[in-house]
Amino acid sequence: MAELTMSFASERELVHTAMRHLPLRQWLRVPKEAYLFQKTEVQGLFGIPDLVAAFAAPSERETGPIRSIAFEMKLSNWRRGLMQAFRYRSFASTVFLVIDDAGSRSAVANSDRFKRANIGLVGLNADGSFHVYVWPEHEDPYSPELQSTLNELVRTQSPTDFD
Amino acid sequence: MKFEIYHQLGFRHQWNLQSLSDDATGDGIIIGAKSLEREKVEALPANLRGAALFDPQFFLPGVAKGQLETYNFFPQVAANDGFKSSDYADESAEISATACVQFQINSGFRYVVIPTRYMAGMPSNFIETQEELFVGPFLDAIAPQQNSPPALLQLVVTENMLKDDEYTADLLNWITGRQGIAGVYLIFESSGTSKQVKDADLLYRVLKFTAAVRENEMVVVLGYLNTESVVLTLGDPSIVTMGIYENTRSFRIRTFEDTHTEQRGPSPRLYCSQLLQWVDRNYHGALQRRLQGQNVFDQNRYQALMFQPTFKWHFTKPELYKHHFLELSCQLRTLSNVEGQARFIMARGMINAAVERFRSIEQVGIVLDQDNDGSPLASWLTAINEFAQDQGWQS
Repeated sequence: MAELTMSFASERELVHTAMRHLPLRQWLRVPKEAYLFQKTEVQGLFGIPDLVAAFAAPSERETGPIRSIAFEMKLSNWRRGLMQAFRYRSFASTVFLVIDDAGSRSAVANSDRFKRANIGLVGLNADGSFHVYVWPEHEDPYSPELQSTLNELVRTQSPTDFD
Repeated sequence: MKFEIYHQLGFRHQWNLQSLSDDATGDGIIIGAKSLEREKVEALPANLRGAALFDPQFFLPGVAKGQLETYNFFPQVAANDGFKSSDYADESAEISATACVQFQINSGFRYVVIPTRYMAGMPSNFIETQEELFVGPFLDAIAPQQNSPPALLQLVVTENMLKDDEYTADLLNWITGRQGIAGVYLIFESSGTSKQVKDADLLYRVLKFTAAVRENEMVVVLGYLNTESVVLTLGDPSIVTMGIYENTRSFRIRTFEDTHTEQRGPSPRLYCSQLLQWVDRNYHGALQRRLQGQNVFDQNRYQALMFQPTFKWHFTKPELYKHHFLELSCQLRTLSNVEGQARFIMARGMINAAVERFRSIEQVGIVLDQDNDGSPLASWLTAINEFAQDQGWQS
């Protein structure tokens, strides 16, 4: 049996590649020059997402809705990744599991589970190329309390003069 | 036989007492010395003490943690120069045992509990140590008492002990052959780290152990139980327990260690009787939205309060635990009303129904983690089916 070769040496490398190459601004519809909130290993929510990206339109920054995407990143073990990613649905309106594309076959074969859970699935390569196997639909977070916690975090950690 | 439900008291014991009086969720209490100072125990109403067991919690006799230091018979307190097992047996064991027995008799408790020393693994000197430190001295102290209630021998058995047939046989021979003991207050320690016991073999062994003691017409009190109590009722215990925080629902020796510091508080979790599981608050929104009409949350006055928009969810809220007591005690009472094969069939029905509920949750795309999902249920079914096979209950 052929041995699976992973493109990434560590999850850390996967996270950094994802931050550099995934079109977060486009996915969050962040205007050019506007500030994009990005934070890794976010504590105080439900689980610890590897990355949270968020954007609050300046006019709505004080009280309005914040668009957010939470990511779980895995070299393999998509089942655990899906379970962790689902936790983030409590505070983020969009959630992806990003998996090393070299080891994504089993996850892709189970795409229906991602669709059912409304969790996106991205296969990422070390050169930054990626494939979105499952696009999640926008859905309000399940927990208004945790959504508020995230919104507060984004607002307090965003510069006030970024627009 | 019918079994009784006792509250395993720990921190916030007032909630247990309120639940007992307001909702009739049990038949008595087990008082943990670490959590309740002596004066407060003595001040409990006589009727409550009459239906109570006092757990001296001598598990680590050299560590007088929490309120243990308020008891002059606690080994570390009773031994003048600090507890050393070699000196203690010669000098202080008798004095400590006499004072502890006297305290339990004077307090009017239902049983006198002979404490145990916690011993990890499978030590070859387990019985000898317990005899020397506590069992011998306590039975000697009980013997001259005319008005002593029956004595229960406390035992903390580890997974290794229970899974070794020869070791278990030695323990059973000791317990059932020892004069003056009416039964055991049994606590099992699981090495698993999950919030529910998922080890089928361990549960099966506890069932077998319980049944073996009961066959000798002795009392069996099962302490520190979580929802696996539903499974363990098949062993025909005399008393099963429920508790508030996790450290009263699962025995962990680190709780009694000097160095142990409480970790960050957990997320609030709500017991769902249909699932036989506690479910983290952060999943409730998903369950409500995706399951729509199929409500998995039990309806009672605490639930009504907790699901009001103004309710601030936190693990220190009493409603979570009073809700749990109300729902679990109903399930346990239902099981208590039947015996033997009928109890097995009923428990199996509860577990199978929970399996089905989890399946419907999965089908709507909710992915629960391993502390909230139905993963313990398969091992529970394995344990009860194996035990039922032994008992001739399986057709």
